[in-house]
Amino acid sequence: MTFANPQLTDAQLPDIDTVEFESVHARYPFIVATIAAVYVVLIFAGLLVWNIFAGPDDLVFPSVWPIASAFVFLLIALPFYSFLRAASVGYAVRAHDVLLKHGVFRHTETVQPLIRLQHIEMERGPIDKWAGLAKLKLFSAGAQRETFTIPGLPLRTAARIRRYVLNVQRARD
Amino acid sequence: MPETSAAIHEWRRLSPWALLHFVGSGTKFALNNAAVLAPLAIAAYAQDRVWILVVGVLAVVVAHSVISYRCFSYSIASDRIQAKQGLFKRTHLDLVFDRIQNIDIIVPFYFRPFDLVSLKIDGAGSANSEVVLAALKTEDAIAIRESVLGRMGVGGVAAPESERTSDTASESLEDQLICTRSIADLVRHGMSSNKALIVLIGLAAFSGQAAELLIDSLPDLGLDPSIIAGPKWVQVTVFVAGSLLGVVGLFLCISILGAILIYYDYQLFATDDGFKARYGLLTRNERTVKTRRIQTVVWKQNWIDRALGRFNLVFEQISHLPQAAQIGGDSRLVVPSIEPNAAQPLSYRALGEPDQEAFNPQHLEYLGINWRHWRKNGLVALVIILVLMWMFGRSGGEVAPLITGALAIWLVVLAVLYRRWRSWGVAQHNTILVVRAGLFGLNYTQFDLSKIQQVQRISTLFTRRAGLSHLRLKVASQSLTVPYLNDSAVTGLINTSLYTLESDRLSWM
Repeated sequence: MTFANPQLTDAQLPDIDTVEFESVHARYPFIVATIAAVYVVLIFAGLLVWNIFAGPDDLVFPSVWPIASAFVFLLIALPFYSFLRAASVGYAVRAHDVLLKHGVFRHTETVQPLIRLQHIEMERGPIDKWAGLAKLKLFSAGAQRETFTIPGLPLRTAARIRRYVLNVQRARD
Repeated sequence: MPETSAAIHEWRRLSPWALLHFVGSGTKFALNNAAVLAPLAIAAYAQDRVWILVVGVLAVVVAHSVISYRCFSYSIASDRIQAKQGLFKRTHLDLVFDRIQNIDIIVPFYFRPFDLVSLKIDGAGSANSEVVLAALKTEDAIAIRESVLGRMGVGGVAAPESERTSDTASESLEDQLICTRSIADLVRHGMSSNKALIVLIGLAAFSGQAAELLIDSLPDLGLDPSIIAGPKWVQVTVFVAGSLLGVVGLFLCISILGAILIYYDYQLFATDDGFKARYGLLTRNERTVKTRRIQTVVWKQNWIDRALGRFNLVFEQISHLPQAAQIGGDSRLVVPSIEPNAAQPLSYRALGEPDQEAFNPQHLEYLGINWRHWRKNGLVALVIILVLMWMFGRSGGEVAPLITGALAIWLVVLAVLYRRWRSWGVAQHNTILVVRAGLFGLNYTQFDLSKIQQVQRISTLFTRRAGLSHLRLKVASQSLTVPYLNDSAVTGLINTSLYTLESDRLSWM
C-alpha cells in the first residue's frame, strides 16, 4: 500500500461555515404551533371551569378583561414563537459528523462527530405517526442522555440517516 | 468462551467480616440522611425518648446490613464481573472489563487488624455501576485487580493467560514513585479550603448584633463586661474579632485535619499505562487510573492556593452525574497542593505525551474573551441593584446613603466581574486545548482534542451584531464554555477540533 500524505490548505480543511443546513419538514412548525395553541386553550379552559364551580372567594380571575387579554396574547404569542423555533431547526449530515442548528433569539449549532456516537434511536409519537414524521435521537459516547434530537424529519429521511449512521458505525467497528 | 460461561456460574459470597463494611455503609447513609430523621428526633427529645430512636436506627442499620450481606454475591469471568445485590430491589450488575474506570483497594480502619481490604470497582457508565467487594484478603484483592487490569485490553479483548501473568509481574515491578505529599503540603491543602471563608462571611453579617446581645446578657450570666476596657463599641469589636478568629481557627483546624485524614502519606506511582495513588490515614485508599481513561486535567487554584503558589492537580475521568461525588462515586484522582514545576510532568503524562517538552499552562498565551462580557454582566448587576434599591427605597428613609451604598456595591461587583473577564480565555498547544477561567483563583483545564465528544457554537442577538459567539466543548468529564470569542476564532477552533478528532480517529477511553 502506497503511503500518501498530501498537504491540505486552509481552504481544503472542513469548515462548518460552509455547511448547508436542510430544513425540517414544512408541516412540522405548524404542528408544533398547533400543539402550543392547544396547551394554551386547555390551561385557560381549566381555569374557566374552576371559575365556574368555585365559590365567590376562590375565584381565579374575578374580572374577565385581564384574563381575556392574557388568553388572546398567549394564544397568538406562544404558537407564533413555537412556529419560529420549530422553523429554525436545521440539520446536516456530513461524512464524519451530524450537525443541528436551532434557536430564534439564541442560535445554537451543535456538531456531533460520528466517531463519538454511541447509538441512534428513531422515535415516533402518535402525532408524528399521524403526520408521517419521525425524530432521531443521537447519543454521544460520553453522555447518558441523548446529545441532541433532530425533530420533524420525514420518515424516509429519518430512516436513511439512521441507516447511514449505523453503516458508518459498523465500518468503524 | 467456555471459560467465560463456566466462570460466570461460580457465584461467590463475601467473607462474614464484610458485615462490618455494610454496617459502615449503612451508618454513613443514616448520617447523610439525618435531616429526614430530624422531626422524629425532635419528637423523641420532647418526650424524653431519644434512646428509642437511637436503638431503632441501629436496629434498622444492622438488619439492613445483614440482609445486604446475605443477598450479595459476585462472579468473575474472563471479560466481566457480575454482582447480584438487594432483597426487595434486586439488581444484577454486569461490568465488562473494558468499561471499568477505576479499581480501588480500600483499607478501612476496621479491616486493618484482620489484613482485609475492600475492592471498589467503578464502571464508566454511571454512579450505579459500582461494585464493592468487601473483606477480601489483601492478596486476593490484588490478584483480582491485577487480573482485571491485565484483561482490560482495547475493545475488551482479553490477553492470553501467559501474557497476563508476565504483564502483571512486570507492571508491579515497574511502578515508579513520582510524587509524594508531606504533612506540610497537606496542611497547605487544608488551609486553602474555602469553607472557613464562607463561614466567616456568613458570620460577619450577624456578628455585630450577636455580640451586642451577648455583651448585654453577660451580667445575667454572672460575668462582668468591664473586663474589656473602653466604650461599648470597643467591646463589640473585640468580641466580633475574637469570635470570628475563633470560628475561623476552628474551621481551619477541621479542614487541615480532614486533609491529613484523607491524604496522609500520599504516594503517586507511574504505572505502565497510568497512575496509581495511595493515600489515607484511617482508611487507606489505593486508586489505579489508566491514562486513556483521563478526560481532562485541571490545575485548580483558589485565592489561598494562589498566595501559596500551589495547585490542586485533578485528573478527571468520565462523570455523567453531578451527584456522583456526593454518593461516593467520585472518579477523580487529586494530587493535593502541588507546585507548578512538579505538576507539569504529571499533567503531560496524564495527557498521554510524556516525552514532549513540558509546558506550564500559566505561561501560555491565551485568547481572551471580548470586553462586552464584562459590560453585559456589569449592566445586569446594575439593573438588579437598582431594583433592590427601589424596593428598599419604598419603605422611606434617606436616599443619599442608599445611592452611595448601591454605587459602592456596584463598583465592587464591577471589579469582580472585571477579574472574571480578564481571566477567561483559551489557548492551544499542539493538540492540547487549555481553558482558563476563575474569579479570585484560576483554573486551567487541559484536554486533548481527541477527547471531545461534541462541539457547539452559540450566538445571541447581541453577540451576533458584534461578530462574537460562545464556544462550548463537551468532553466526558465536563462541559467547557468560553463565551464572547471572535466568530473567526470559534470557527477556527471548531474546525481544528473536528479535523483532529475525525482524521486521527483516536479512542477517547
